[in-house]
Amino acid sequence: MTGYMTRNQTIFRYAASVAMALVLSTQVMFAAPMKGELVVAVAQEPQDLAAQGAYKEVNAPGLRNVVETLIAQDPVSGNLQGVLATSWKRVDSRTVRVTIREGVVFHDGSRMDAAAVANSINWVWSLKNAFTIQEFAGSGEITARVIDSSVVEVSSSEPDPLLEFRLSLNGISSSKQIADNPAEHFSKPVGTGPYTFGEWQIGQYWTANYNADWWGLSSDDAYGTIKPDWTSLKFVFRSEDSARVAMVQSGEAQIAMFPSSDECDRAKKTDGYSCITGPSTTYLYGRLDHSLHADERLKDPRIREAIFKAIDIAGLVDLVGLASVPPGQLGPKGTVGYNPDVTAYDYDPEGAIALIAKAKADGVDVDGIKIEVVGRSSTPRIRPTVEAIGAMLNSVGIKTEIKVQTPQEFNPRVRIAGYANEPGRQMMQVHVKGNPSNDYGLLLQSNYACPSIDDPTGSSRSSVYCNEAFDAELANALKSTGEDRSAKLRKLVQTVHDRHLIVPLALLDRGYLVEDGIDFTFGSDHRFQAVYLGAAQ
Amino acid sequence: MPYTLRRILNSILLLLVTISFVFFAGRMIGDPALNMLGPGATPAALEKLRVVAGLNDPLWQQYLHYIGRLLTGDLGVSYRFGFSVIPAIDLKELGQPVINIVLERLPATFFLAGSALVVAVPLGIFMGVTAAAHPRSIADRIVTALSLAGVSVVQFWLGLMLIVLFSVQLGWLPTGGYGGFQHVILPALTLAARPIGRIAQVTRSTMMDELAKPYIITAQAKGVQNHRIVYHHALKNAAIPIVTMIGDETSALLTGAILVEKIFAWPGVGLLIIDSLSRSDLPLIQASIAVVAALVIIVNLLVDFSYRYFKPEIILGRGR
Repeated sequence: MTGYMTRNQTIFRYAASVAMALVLSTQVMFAAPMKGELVVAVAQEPQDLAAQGAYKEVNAPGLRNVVETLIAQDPVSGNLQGVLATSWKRVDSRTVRVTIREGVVFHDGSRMDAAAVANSINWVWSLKNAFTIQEFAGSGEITARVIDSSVVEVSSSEPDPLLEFRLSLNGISSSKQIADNPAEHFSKPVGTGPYTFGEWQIGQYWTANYNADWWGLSSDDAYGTIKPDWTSLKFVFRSEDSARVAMVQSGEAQIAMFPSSDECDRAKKTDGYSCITGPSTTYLYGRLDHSLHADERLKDPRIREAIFKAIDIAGLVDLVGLASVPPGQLGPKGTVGYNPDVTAYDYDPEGAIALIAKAKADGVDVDGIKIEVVGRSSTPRIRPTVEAIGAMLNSVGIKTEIKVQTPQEFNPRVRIAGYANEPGRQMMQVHVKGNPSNDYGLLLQSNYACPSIDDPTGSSRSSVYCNEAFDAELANALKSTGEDRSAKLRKLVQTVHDRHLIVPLALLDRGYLVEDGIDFTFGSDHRFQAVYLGAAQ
Repeated sequence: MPYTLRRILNSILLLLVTISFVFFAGRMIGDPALNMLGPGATPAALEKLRVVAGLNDPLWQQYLHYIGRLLTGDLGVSYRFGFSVIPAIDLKELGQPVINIVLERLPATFFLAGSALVVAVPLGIFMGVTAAAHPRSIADRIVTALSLAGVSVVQFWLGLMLIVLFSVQLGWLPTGGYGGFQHVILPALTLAARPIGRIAQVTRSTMMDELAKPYIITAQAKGVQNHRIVYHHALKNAAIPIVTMIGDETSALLTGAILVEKIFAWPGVGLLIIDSLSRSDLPLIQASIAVVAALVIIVNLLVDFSYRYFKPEIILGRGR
C-alpha cells in the first residue's frame, strides 16, 4: 500500500511540475498576424537596431522604415534623392551644405531640425565611437555643424567626393533619446519614418506600426513609389532557408528572403507565389596572396596568370546558382571608374599549362607551390566552390589544399593584423565583397592599396598587394572629382586586372519568394521599404 | 557522510568543473575582447571592453572574480550590442545581466521539453509494455520498427518534413515561432521522437525480463488480471531502468533542444546558445551553458533520489 501511495505521489508531482511549466510558458504568448500586416521572413536577426545600421539592410532588415536618412539612393535609377534633406550643395572637396526638411518630428515628438541632424551625424561618425558604418563606408571622420535651424554643413576630415553617398548610409535618429536613454538607441529606434518601432522579441521578430503622422503622407516630393499601405510590418527571423520558404508556402509570410536557386525554380511551377531576383552589388571573388607576407613565387606574373586562366568562371557561376558572370572587375557598368575594356579572365587551361611549363623551365620551383584555397563557412555554397577551384588548379598542375573556415578563423586571416603572422603564405581567399558606392575609390583603397599596420584602419584592411607607385596614383585619384576621377580610376582598374590580383568569380543575385499580388521594388541594395512594397494594382 | 549529502556535494563539484571548463575554454580560443567585438573593432573599443570586463587582469584573478560573482548570482553582463561599443557610455549601461536573459528563455525551453516529455513518456512506456506483453506479435514488430526509427531519425530532417506536411501541405500548424499551444506541437513531436524510441526500447526489454520471472507466473496462476500483472506488478519492478532512461532523456531534451529550437525558431535557451556563440558573447555563452549544466545535474540528482520511491529496499550508497 505504501508503495502505491509513493508512486502516485511521484506521478502527481511530475504531472504538476509539467503542468506548471506549461502554464508559465503559455503566459508569454504573442499575437497572431493580423490583416494588413506584412510579414517578411528574414535570414538573420539584426545585431542591433541603432540608426547607424541603416547602411546594412541585409543585417538589419526593415530598419529604414523607421529610421530615415538625409539622402537615399533611388532603387530604380540608382540616383541620389532627398529624404530628410530637401536639397544639398557642394561647398568644397570636403564639405556639403544640406537643407533640412522642415516640420518633421521624430516618433518621440522631438523636432527634426538642423541641431538634431547635426547631433545625430556627429554621434554616428565620431571616431570616439566605434560604429561599424565607419569600417563599411571608408576612412575620414564626418562632422556636422548647424548653420541655421534648417541648414547643416557636413564636412569630412579628408577630401571626399563620396560624401553625399556616405550621407545616404546613416540613419538620423532622435537626439532626445541619445541624451536621455542612450542604451535604448540600440534596441528601440526612434526615427522619422513611415513606421514607428513596435517591439523586438529577441530571437523571434521585430515589428513596426504605421505612422499616420509621417511627413511623406502630405508631401509632394516624398520618396517611394507608393504610400505605405500596411498597418504593420513584421520581420520574422528564420535562419534556415527551408523554414523561410515554408512560411511563404503556408501563408504565414508574404515574403521570404534569399531562397535557394532550387526553390526559385520550383516556385515557377507553383501558384500563389513567385520568385523574383535581382542583381546585388556583392561579388564572389578569389584574392591570391601577392607581395605582403606571401611566398615569393606568387609574385611571378606567369604563375599568377596561369592560376587565373585555370579557373572556369562560367562553370563556377552555374555551380553557385542565382549569379551571373561578372566583368573582370569588382563593380558593375555605371560605377565611377568602370573600365569597359576589362572583361572576365579567359578560361584557358592549355594556356595555363604552357605558362607553368615556361616558369618551370626558367627555374621556378612550381612543384613546391601549394595554394591554400580557403572559403568562409557563412558564404553560400562555399564548400563546392572551393573544391571546384581546387580541382581546376590541380588540372593544370598546381597543388592545392582546400579549407572552409568559420568566420572566427577566417576573418583574421584576411586582414593584415592576422596574416602578418603568416609569412610565406600561399592563400587564395574565396570571399564576398559589396561595392554599393557606385565608385571604385573606396574599393581600390580597401582591396588593393598597401595597408600600413600602423595606420588606424590599416590593421583591418584586406589588401595583399604593395606597390608604392600604385598607391601614389590611387591617392591622387581619390582627391579628384568628375571625369578626371573616372579616368584615373579606370586606369587603376586596368592595372589591377593586368597584375592578376583578384579574380571576380560571380556577381551574386539575390532572390525573394513573394506572395502573388505584392509589388516589390528593390535596388541593388535590396532594402525592405514599405514605400516600395505594396499591393499590386 | 549521508548518501544524499554526498550526491549533492558531488553535483556541486561537477557543476564547478563544468563552469570552470567553459570559462577557460572561452579564453583559450583567442582574445575574448577581439572575439566579442570582431576584427573591425577599434583599439579604443577593445581596450574599453578589456577594462570594463576585467580582461586585462591575470587569468587566475579573472577566474576568482568570476566564481566570486557566481556565488552571488552575478554571471556577468551581455555585450549584445558589442559591435557598436561606444567608449563614451558605460558598457554596463548598455549590457544586460546575462542571468536575466537566460531566465527569460528558460520557460520556453521548459515548455518545449515538458511538452515533448508529456508525449514521450506515456507513449514510449505504452509501446514498450505492449511489445513486451505480446512478444513476436505484429504489435511487437511495429513497436520495434518505430522505436528504431525514432532513435535513428535525424531531427533536422524530421522537423523539416513535419513542417512540409502539417504547415505547408495541410496548413494545420504554424511553421515555427513561439505563440501558443499550436506552435509547440511540431517542435515537441520532433524532439519527442528519440525519447519515445529509447523509452520504448528500454521498457520492452526490461518488461520482457520481468514478465518471465516466477512471481508473474504465480500471479497468473492465481488468476490476477493480465493488465494488473503488467501495469501494477511488472512495470513497477521494471521501473528503475525506465526512470533512469527518462532522466537521461530529460537531460538530453534540455541540451538537445538546440537544433529543434533553431529549426522552429523557438526562443529557448538552445537558440540563445547558438545566438550567443554566433555573436561571440562570452558572458552569455558561459551563463547559458552553466544554467543548462545545472539543470542536467539537478535532473540526474532527482533521478537518483527517485530510486528510493520505486525500490524502498535499495539503500543507496551503503556498502561503499
